Amino acid sequence: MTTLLRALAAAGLALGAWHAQAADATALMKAADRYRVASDDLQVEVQIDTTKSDGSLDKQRRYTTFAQSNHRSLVLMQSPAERGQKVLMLGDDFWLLMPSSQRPLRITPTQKLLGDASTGDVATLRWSEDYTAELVGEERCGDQACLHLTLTAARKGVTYQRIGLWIGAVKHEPLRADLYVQSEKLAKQARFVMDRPDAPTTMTEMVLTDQLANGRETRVKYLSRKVRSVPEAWLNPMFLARNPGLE
Amino acid sequence: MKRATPLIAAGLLAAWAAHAQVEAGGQVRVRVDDQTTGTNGSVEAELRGQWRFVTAAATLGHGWREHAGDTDLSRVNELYAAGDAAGWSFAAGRRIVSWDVGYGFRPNDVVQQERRRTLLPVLLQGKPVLQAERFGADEAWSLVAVDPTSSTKEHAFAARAWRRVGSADWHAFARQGEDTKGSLGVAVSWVATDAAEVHASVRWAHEVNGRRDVPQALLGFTWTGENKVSVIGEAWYDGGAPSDADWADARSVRALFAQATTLQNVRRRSVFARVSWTHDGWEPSLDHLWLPSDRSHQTTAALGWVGDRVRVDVGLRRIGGPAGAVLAASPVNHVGYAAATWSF
Repeated sequence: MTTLLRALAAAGLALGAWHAQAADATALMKAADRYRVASDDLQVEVQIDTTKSDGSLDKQRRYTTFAQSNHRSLVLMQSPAERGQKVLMLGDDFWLLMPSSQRPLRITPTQKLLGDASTGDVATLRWSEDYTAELVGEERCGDQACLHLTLTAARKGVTYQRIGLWIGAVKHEPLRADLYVQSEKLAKQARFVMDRPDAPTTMTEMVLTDQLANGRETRVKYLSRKVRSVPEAWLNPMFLARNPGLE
Repeated sequence: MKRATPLIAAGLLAAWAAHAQVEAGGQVRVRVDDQTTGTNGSVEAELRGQWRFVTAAATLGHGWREHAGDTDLSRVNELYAAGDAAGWSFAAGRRIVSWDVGYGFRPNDVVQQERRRTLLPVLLQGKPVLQAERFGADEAWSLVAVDPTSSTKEHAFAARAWRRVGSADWHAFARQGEDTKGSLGVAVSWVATDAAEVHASVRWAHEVNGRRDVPQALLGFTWTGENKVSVIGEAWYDGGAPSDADWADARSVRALFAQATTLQNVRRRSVFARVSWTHDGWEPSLDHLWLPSDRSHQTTAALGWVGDRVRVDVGLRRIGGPAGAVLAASPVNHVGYAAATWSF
């Protein structure tokens, strides 16, 4: 009987510790999110520079992203080569509109991966909405202490199935990430650039290295952020064929 | 309208220059086609802009055809005013209104009636419409009065209801034409897995191409892998196309060939497949249209490259089949093309 009680007590302690660690990991993930978005409803202007292996600029793309509450994002392509294209994400469901046909089209989660920086990279601004977190442990990231988290997709429509995320041990700012797709293949590696490395408040850039592209780098620059709730109709897929005034 | 095109385009440019808040852009495309009947070339400039409640898109273009001389390709693609009142959105003018879910054939594209399987995507030319739309959280309604302003096309009313149910989009369509009377249709697009989407579209029409009680149906899928390979597969039936008996009737064949260029499908049954791969700005693709009724086929191999502002496309389409097959009798049995597009 005493043995059984001891076993139950140990199991209870282990469960409590696991629960506390899971809660800690979730809090850490949310803390890291705040460096990218600090509000539920935002308009974020994003510029993506793709560089060749020699460092020269290959392509530059501009996007306006409306990141709204409840897993809803609307991405408007603004560069000359893509102007008029729109992508809408409502939870696990995605639609694309091409300007030549003005016909909203259902797309699959993997179709989001097409392109140098996938639409998912542009529109997904909060890990805590899409992933569950687990704390792997404390490690060294260069000359600073960092915490290693494993994020596992909590929903089926996310771009990356698993993310290895390293954040600062003190201020919890994102430092780098390994991004894995469904097949557990390492698709991209990311490092994050903060406004002030010593006292970070905002993420200014995400630098992506595609594991399949030789030395090519994609820099996702967050040019501006402002609080903005868009009309509900804008988040209806059939509304994509309309041309709302954006300002 | 055609004569007004340069004026509208010039007006668009002037408005663009005068008002910083105008959203404007466009592209210039140079294209050369080499086909069985000769070499063709064209230069087209697309201009798009939006100022307050007015949206406009116009194409200034000029074409050269070997043995046929020059052609003016200028056109107004869209010019409409839009606004909201009492919870509805309204639009009036020339506008692109594209419906339905298929790639190779869209039986329920009852307003735009877009020509499919073109060599290169082109900005469509909208129809003169009055449109009322309402958008809910997971549903939308669209009512359209179409005035084709052409003596060869009819006036029509069309309606679409859309509803999102889980990972599927359901569409219901109705159209009432002045001459062709009624048609009803249903379409669905369902994202079955992270990589695969399945779509289907069916329509019954009172009259299509002079034929009565016409069924049309399409079933297809798209699949995109993590390796950025995409596959499209579709099969469709078009009761508005000539039947096997029509093609076998020597008295009607000449008229059918004359009509063939205006038809969406020359045979009732079609099977279509397309494979493409996107990598590092390159997109090679291969598609194949097969008509099982007479085993004729159309195969297109293409290569696209996308840079910062420039896009280059080259490709070759071969059309053929056994002796007596409809496509094999076409005066054009191959088309090679090259195009360069600069966006601004």
